[in-house]
Amino acid sequence: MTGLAEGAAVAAPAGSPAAWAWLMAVVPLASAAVLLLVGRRLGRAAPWVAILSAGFSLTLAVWTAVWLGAREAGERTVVHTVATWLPAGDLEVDWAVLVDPLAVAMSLLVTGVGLLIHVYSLGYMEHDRDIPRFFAYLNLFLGSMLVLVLGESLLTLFVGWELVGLCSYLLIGFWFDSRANASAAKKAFVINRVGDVGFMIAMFVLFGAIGSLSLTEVLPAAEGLAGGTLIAVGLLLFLGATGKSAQIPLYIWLPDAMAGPTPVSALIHAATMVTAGVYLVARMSPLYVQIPEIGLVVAAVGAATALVAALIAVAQSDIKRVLAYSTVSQLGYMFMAVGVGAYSAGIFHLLTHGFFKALLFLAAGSVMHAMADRGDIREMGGLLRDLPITGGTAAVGTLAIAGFPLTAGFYSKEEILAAVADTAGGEVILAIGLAVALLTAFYMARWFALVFLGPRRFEELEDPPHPHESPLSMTLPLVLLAVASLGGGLLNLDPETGLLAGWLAPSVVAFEQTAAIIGHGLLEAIAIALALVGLAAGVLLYRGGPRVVSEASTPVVRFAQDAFRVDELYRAAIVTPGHWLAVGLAWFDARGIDGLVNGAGRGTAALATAGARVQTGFVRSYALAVLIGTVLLIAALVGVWMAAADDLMLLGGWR
Amino acid sequence: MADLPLLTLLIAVPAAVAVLVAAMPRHAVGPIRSVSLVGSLVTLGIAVAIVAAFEVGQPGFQLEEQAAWIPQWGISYRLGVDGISLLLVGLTAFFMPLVVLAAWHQQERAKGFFVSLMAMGAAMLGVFLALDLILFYVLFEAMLVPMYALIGIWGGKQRRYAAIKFFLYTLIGGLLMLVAILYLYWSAGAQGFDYDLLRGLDLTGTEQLWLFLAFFAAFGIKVPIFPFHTWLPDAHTEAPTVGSVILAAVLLKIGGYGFLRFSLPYFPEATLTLAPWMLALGVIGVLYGALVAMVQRDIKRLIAYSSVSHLGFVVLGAFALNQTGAAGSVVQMVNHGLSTGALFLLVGFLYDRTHDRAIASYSGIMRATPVFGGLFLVTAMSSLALPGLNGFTGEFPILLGTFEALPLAGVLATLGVILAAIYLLWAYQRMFHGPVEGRAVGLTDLTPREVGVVAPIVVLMLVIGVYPGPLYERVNPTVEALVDEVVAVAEDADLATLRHLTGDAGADAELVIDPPADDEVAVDDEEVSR
Repeated sequence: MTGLAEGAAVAAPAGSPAAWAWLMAVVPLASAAVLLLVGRRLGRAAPWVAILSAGFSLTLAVWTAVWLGAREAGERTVVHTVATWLPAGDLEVDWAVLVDPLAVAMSLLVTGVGLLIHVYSLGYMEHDRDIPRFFAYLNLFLGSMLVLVLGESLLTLFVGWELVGLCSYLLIGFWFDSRANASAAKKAFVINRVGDVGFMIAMFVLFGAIGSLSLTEVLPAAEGLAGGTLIAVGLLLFLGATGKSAQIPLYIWLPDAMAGPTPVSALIHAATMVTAGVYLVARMSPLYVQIPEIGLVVAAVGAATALVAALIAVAQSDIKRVLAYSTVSQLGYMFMAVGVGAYSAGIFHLLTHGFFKALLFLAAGSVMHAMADRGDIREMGGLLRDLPITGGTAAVGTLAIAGFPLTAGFYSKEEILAAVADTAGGEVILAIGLAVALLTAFYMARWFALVFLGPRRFEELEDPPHPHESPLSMTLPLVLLAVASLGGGLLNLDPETGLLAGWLAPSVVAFEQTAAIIGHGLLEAIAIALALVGLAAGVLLYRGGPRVVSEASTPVVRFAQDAFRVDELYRAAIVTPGHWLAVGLAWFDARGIDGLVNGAGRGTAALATAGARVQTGFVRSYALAVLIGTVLLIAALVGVWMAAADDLMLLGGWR
Repeated sequence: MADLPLLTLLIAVPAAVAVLVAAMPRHAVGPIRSVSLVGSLVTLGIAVAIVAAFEVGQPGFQLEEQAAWIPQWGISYRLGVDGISLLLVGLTAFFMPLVVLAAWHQQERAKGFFVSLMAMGAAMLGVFLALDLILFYVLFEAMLVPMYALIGIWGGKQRRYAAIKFFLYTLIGGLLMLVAILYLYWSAGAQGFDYDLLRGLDLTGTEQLWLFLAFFAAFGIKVPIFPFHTWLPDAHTEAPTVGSVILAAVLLKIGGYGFLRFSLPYFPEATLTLAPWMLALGVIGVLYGALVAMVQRDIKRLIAYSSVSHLGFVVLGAFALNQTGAAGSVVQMVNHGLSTGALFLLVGFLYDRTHDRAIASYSGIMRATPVFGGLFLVTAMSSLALPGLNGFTGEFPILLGTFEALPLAGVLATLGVILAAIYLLWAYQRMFHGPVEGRAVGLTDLTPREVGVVAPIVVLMLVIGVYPGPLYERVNPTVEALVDEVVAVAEDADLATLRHLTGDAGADAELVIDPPADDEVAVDDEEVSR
């Protein structure tokens, strides 16, 4: 059991960083407000305000981590209440932070990658006309994500959850002059709200059963909950997670979210926000651990998503869309992990993925910067020569995500596969996990080869770009992330005794082996072989450029290029019927209900034509109204309200 | 200051200003609006004094004032404020100066316009403070006249139709309520119309049902509850901007207020019997309003239907019959007033410039007028109950309370949060995003006056979103007493519906989804209550 579930939370000592941890979120939020209000007047100083506040949050996060690490292992669950938030009737929710190893690990990722991306944006957004607004949104996101991560109550977590959704909306639609971007932003928000309904109902059920939404009360009580309640809450929270973390059936918003500026794709739609669902499940591990069958559902959905997204990624030709589907797929791995109860493995992959996927997106941004905003990888090629730093770091990212031995992704993926292999009923999920490992290595090698290797196809374009390496503000984050992608494995060299596993132990429930499907040594060998085969095949096949698709396989490839036409399916099954329902109801409202009302009005007006039509000025109408009103009071007393209505028709004539 | 009759002053000041303005020369538009603004600011100041004098933690009426009015019939002038009315009085007074400022450039028949505004303010404040049923009824009907004028004289093309429809609906509802008031009066031994005198009468189940329905006619139409809502889109659309604002921000709240003030405590058994039906109507309001809003082409009609949806939540909270829901319901009334009031103000500013309400006429407003676009976005987010802004602080407790009372209703109503995102963001995307086209070309951004009208509302949205505690501190004791009273009566009556409506939350973790109670319950009700 975890510290939280045992009720071992202690109040933050005054003056400790935990007592000030709320500033981690509040400072960037305040900075966002300042930038939105007076950002234009700040001019070139605006980005630096944002960067400084991100730096502040990172510093505070590091201090908090050091402080927490110096405490006894049993006292690393610390709560600090700042103020009362929502005391509505029986509901009592505070603005309070929960500082524990999991929250600290997440806030280090969020502020660390966040700061790097703030710096990167300095170069990337240099020529944009709305720089202050962009940095305001980035700060708003950083603060919101920290509300999510540090929230002590499910409801404050939900506040962060929704606010990061807002930031996602604002940033996807940052260049809102294009209708496509605006539409993608709305789609992301609406689909996330579908998941949010699940989250909200889960809270209703939990509150009904426990009488609180505070994590320090909910998690200790989770053990005593009835089976039905647990299952309902587990599934509903997971529904919320599928929205935010882009899993089946709600993943379709994430690929479109690439409409936003690339730093946003790296920060929000790869490294941090989309992992919130994984964080939620890990946070609720004392609850999920009691319902392993629901855990298997979570893992199965993760596996299915990983496979579907990987298959689609193979067929994509936009530099960011490949990475977007790859993110969906990698999130699937994380859900496989937390689904089978390997929470620290899931968080481990969440962190390493945060490094190498942020790296890959930023590299993609650097490439697009060099290619004058072109994004079709079929038109690229040979860019390694012009962009050595971008290309070199992208190569590191590619190896890491493919699970090349000794990279960060190798260790974290290996841990997930090993945990699945040790779970009863995990056979199919394991097989899918391995297949996705092969596909991942393949599509990423294809991506890398088409962009950086082979002939320089862009030189044949009309108005060919003249690629050049990006400025230091962009390459420095790339290099730092590349180092993290290479060495991130050190965080947890062993699933049981690794640094991260030990660190997270007070926060998440430990994994329990329930089967032994395959030996870990053999599994590792298979995974390495698959990674190498995938990488080699991808590079060899695509080094020379895009491949001509054979006649026979065209429909299949087309189908994958169209992302299996899931969007069209949803449109036909939900959007269109929903629209017609709304149209039908609007017609009913205007013709049905109002038809009756107007009909009754006309009928009584016709009856009343015997009376004189009084068409006077308004002032006299009031007097008349008052008079008639008085008459009507008496009439009403007798209970003849229809007659009363007749008289009233005299007022102005029912037209 | 403690001895001042604050509540009377609160009503008297706007009433006096109305009289004063009426006596001013017609062409003195400048002085007329200045006097109105000063008057409304003084009114707001008195409201602030009332809030300051209000003792937190005390459930009953405070700052009471009483005088004989028509003693022969037991009609008195009695005012008082409790946690529920305090918030609504504050909301009303808060909006008065804003509404005057919003109408600052009103030229056409300005005198009558400002007289109507001030009279409206006095009547609305009176309605929330009145503790004598005849006084309440008179003020309830008195509101009709200035509102009828606002729509009928200064409204849009279909103003006569809309005004008469509004008038008839409200009047008919009010008359049925009057009948019920008179019945209560006779039942209480014809001693008077005092609020407390008519409370807790020994009525049979059948009597309660009929009386409940008569009050429902008045308040259900005001809310408005499906299917009695169709006057609202017409009234909202045709009314001038400030008319829509007053309607949305304050007038509709009288429905929710009436349920909590009268229906629940006066007819507790009928309330319990009908609560599942009221919850069903609330859910229908939430979903139906949102769905119809989705396909509106006129931005004002869209906001009007969003009101139908949002006020469905108020009904849900009131009839969840638990503290969480009821407290949320009161706060939701304030929040809806702020968000929808601001939406109508903003749409009004747009209409002033272009005289076009069609969503399709606009594109790219955000690029053309970023201040307007930004304020509209915050307001839309408040309306769709984004956590961190005010809307959520009322909606979430309501949904929580509704789920506790009737899980199915809670689940269905929660779907409303998806629909709200769809219709608001759809409209926002069409009008504010995309290239600058149509009527957005050459649009000028908000003037300092216009920003000054909306900014206080937006600030309140943020403050209530982050720190709603002061509202709940004042509401909680009152609704706690109210809910306890209704539930106590229910326990005596041992109604079948009681079990899942007021069942102890912690005791039963199972999801019990019972269908709404059917007619049998009503029969039981009769038998039990003597």
